[in-house]
Amino acid sequence: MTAQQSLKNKKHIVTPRYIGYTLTHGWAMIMLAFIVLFFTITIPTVIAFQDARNTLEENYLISGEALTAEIEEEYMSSLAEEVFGSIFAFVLVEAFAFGLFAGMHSTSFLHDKTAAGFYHSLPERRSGHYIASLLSALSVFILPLLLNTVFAALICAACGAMTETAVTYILKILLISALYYIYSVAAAFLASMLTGTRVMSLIVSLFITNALPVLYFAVTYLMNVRLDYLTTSFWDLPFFCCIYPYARAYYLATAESYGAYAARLIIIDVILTAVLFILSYIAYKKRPIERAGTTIIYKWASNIVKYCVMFVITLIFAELFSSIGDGGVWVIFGLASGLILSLMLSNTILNRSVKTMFSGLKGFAVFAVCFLALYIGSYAGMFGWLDYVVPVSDNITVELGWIEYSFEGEEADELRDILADFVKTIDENDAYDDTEYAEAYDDYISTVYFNGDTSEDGFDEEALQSSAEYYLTNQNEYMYLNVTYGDTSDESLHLTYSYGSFTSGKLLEIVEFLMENANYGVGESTVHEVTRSAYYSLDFYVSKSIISECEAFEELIEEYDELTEEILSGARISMSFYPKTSGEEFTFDFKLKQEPSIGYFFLHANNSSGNMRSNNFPLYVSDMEELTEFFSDDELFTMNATLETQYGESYTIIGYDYSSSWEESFIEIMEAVTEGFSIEEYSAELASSYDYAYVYNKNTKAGEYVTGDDLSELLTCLKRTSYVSDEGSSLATVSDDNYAVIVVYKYKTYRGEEVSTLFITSFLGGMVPDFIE
Amino acid sequence: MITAENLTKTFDTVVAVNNISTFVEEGSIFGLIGSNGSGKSTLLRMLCGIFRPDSGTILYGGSPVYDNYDLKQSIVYLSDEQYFPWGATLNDMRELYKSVYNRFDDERYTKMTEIFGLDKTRKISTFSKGMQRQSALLLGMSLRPKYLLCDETFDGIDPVMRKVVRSLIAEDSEESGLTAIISSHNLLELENICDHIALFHHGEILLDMGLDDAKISTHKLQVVFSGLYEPDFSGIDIINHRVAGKLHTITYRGDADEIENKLKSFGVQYYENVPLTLEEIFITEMEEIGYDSSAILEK
Repeated sequence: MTAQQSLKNKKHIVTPRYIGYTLTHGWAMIMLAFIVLFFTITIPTVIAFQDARNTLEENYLISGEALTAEIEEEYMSSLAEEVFGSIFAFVLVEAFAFGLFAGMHSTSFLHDKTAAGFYHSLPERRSGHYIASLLSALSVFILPLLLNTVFAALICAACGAMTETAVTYILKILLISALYYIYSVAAAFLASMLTGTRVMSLIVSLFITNALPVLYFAVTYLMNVRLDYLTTSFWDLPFFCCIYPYARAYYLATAESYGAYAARLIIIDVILTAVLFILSYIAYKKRPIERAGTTIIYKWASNIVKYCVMFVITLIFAELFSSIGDGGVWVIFGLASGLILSLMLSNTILNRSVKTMFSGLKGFAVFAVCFLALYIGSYAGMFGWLDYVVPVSDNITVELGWIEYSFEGEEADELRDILADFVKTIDENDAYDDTEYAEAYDDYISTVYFNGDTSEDGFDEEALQSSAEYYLTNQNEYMYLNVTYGDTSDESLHLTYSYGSFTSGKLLEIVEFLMENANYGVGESTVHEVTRSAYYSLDFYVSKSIISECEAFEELIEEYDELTEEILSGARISMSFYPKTSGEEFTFDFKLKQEPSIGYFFLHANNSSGNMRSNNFPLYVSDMEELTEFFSDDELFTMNATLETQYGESYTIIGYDYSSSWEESFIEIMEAVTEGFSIEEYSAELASSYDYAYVYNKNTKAGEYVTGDDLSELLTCLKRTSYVSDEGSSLATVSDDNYAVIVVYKYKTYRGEEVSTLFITSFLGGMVPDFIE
Repeated sequence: MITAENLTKTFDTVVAVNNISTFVEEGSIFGLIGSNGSGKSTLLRMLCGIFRPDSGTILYGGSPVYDNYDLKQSIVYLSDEQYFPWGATLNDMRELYKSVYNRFDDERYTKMTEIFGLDKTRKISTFSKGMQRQSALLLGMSLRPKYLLCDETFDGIDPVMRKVVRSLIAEDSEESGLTAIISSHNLLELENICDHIALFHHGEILLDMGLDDAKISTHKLQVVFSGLYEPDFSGIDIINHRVAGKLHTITYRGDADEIENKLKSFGVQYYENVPLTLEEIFITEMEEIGYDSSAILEK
């Protein structure tokens, strides 16, 4: 070799011919990826768009309407969104899978002693091997992806569907999928450089991607055994996206448009990918080739994997066994078995020998002590987690029925003060501890339990007193109320506190007021895993005359009345269906009516002012019949709605294409709701668990208790289309003009044998049982 | 010249190569012999830059070999276990070598494939074990390296082909100054080609000298004493001494004439110097340190 040649070679980080050789010999993998992507991108695009234009034209020809360019573009955009949206998800999954596969494949020479020796005996620098492997891995998916997205674009152009939406989606598929493919390759590269066998490479690849969220979950779980608000607030998608690539990809695949948040996620992935590549390169440069064949090349990496796995497994065991029994013995058993089994498992896998399952006992001892200290300390509140104060938000949002309020600054502070006073009032006055519950929740949860005597004899009297159950978790738990209010046209106002977010100053005042003035009330409340919140669920029955004494209440009533008036005067709830073939929108409108409902639709609705609202709306028999008739056509539809029956069953109907099979299911549901259900059986079943009913005659303003057979008879009088709620929350609605019925029964709560109450308020629908008279 | 100084390589708790130093002259053919697991392969892998020594240096004419792209252009390492990428043919391997080595002698490649009778377009994985070794050899030789490191590469090749390869190595050594380091258990093979040997045991070099020097310094004789005087062996560096009846078979180090005169002074009926093969030198040296078949069997 001449000096000139030598000088020339020194300039090369990698020999170009070597890269050429590597790329040309990776064609089999590239072909595989191409075929997979061809069937994922190109073929579906052809199928979706080839006749789209003709179909649209035919439909408009039949209908006699003029097909304008705007309509055509709108239809093509809608179709592109639908088609490429689905393709995007599939391609992302493939990008992750192929990235892992290609990354491992192109670095597999490091996991075989003979191959590692061969390649490293060649006159090629490690940088050269690294770059050649990297380019080989990248070419596997990027080239076929590029080709297939070009094909998709050409198909769209040929079919006259090259709308802005289509272009945007195609670019998103190309760029975002490529990004996550490269990320996956980077993770596989780092795993390969750290490991000495292919199996371990796969395991560590998955570890790199999943360890952080799993560990995060484990730690937050440990912290949140008592603190629900941490888990729920940290596990929401925006935060979770920051630590989990699959969640980031999911978000980017499903986001309608990309804003600053999406840009942040993309930047996170770009940086992470770069970091993974840099780390993998450093690991490779330092990698001792003779370690090929051993599980993990570097002992520190082995320890990270080992102790992370041990941490999670031990935690799972401890929690598993603690849930089996109440005593500490089970927890100790869980901890011990978790520690030992995880040690045996991790040692056996990492050393590939059962003989070494008890090796590394010194490290194990340190880990065990640390883990036990962490675990026991977390329960004992030693780390101050339990005293941690969540930063108070500047805003307090309050949902009141369908109205959302927002309070800021001084008003918000005032609201908090009211809450504090309210809590104090309850705590200091008429409350008594539910010791069973209090013990379970230990010292850092104050449980205050109000419960009126709901027995037959004491009901009237006791009902005059507030009856509530109130759980306070700690100072960070904001009360959380939602008021649903219905005017019964009688002297009473039925006000139900159910789920919602706490709360306006008005509501706090109201609660305080009600505690002192309510005619009667029976309620229950539960601590729910809602961000920084506990539930306070109360039913108060108070007269309007009393209400009028509360200024805040009056204001709320006024607002609510306006809303009610608006809705009852013709608020339009529309559901949109898009028959797939014609693309013609069918909008199903119905008004809120004062008639028995058979279930709920959860949907976004536009009111007459054009304001978007999201809520449960009652679904009525007459509407249902019309809907069923509508779906008898053998069409494919796009729709988004959720049906919930009065029996607590929930049917989520969200998606894109629904064929006649869906239609059948839909009809079945309807039949079950309207015809196929035996109210007699249902009532008998319920009656067996009922304690009594209280029937209130609005005319005479007198009520009486119904028990035993009379109760069963009463239940059979309830129309099957009557609104019945047995979902566990309290609900109060008006009966007919004459009667209100409250059925109370005992049931086992999650706290044990304690008797609580549940309201079932229903319409009698004119079928007044004989015994009532 | 290849110089290795104070090389040590440890795998976890096993010391594969323990502080050895040696050198290989340019254009020489260096034989590595030793028991299994003695560290020969590890030394070769360090010499060709696959393994980095824990301590010590390896210099090729003053240049370190580890990750030295330019130097490695002139080194070809043929492992005891051949590796060929999945589905590769001889022609594919030629392309691979051509992509990383600056020189590849196509003419020799063609000639050698004809000599070995190997199909250039057939997958190497379908070749027999011996053919795969031939493939590795012919590819390595086609690179016309300056340094050829063979780790038991001859083992498994039939005698005729071994002779061909031996001739080619000798030819290259003579014509282009090829320096070859060959490790083998076939001592006859090494005896025929090497001009220098190193004897390995437990990661250390027991013997490191020119083959002729080894033969000159180590001798074997058979002697029957007349019984006039009691023979006195003191002052003789005896490596091995066996007595069968009156016949003494002695392997020793030292000056042959001096020893002969000394022994004959005790009166001898029969005295003969026996030629010593490399294998005998190997076995004798190993026996001296307790690595002999009888000792192993007794265990």
